[in-house]
Amino acid sequence: MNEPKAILLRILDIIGYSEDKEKFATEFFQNVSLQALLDLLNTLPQDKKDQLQQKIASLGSDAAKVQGELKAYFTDSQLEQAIENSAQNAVTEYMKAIDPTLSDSQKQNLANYFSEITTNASPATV
Amino acid sequence: MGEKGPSNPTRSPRELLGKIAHGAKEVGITLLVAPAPGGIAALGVRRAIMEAEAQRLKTQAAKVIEGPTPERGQQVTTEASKGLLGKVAKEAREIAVNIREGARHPFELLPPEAKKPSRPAEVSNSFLKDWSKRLLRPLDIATKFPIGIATEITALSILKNLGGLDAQQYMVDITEGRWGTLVAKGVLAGIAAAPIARLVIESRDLFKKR
Repeated sequence: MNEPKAILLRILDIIGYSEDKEKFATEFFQNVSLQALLDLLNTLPQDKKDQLQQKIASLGSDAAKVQGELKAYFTDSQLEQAIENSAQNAVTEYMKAIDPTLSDSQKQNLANYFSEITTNASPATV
Repeated sequence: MGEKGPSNPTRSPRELLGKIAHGAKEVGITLLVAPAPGGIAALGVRRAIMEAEAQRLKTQAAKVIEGPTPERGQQVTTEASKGLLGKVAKEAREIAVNIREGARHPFELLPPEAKKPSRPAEVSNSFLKDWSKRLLRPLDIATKFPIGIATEITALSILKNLGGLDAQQYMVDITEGRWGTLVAKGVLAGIAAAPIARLVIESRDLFKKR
């Protein structure tokens, strides 16, 4: 099964990332989430953007309410697309960033792994 | 020889650091430089000298700086108090072959061949850090804190600072459930667009066509 965190952890493993992989992956996907939120906010006119930011701030730590508030401004489809796009851009940019620093064997191992997961991915997830 | 020795207060910490880094490079050792915690570059210079000694570079370093190894940075501190601190930190970055994140010491001496394997990891950390910083800008958080502190704020704490939110609770785990499926889809699409994977996919398509 192609779970996003597992994929990133495997990539980190292949490139010889010896620090805390879990921490890296957690922050990576938190950034994906935040980037998606910001991308959505940036589609709003300034007055609505300010309004939504204030509402989110007033809702405290209730994730369900915050999500509910977001749904008042964006459709499910917009939310989903934003998350998907954010994840895609993040991974592409990350791979571009590390590509020049990879050894031949690391590139080969990554290529093998990518081949494996893209071959095994079901049509619904590609 | 020794016309600008360590007792000469005109020698700046930047100059000392440059010469030490050069001396280290000459004997085949890469001096990885990062400013000391709190940006106390003057302290970093002192530690560089100590590290050089520890690595038996004392003779070489002393030779390069054309005089005896300086005492522990008396004039460095003096110069720093004249406002050179920022310049030293900047110069340290330029002189350094690389900044090693998470180093146990502000200065680290490594043989050149030990450096390459860690490059992807360093770039990964830089990528994540830069990304978090870019996320700061739209929310205008950076202006609310001194720059050194702002750069340390992670994406998680942005929301917390934005409105007193408990960001940890606010952030939905997007790697699981319905969100997880979408993120996985995005990740795979991202991989497919990456330079390495494109080669794999193109060669596979070529194979299929044949």
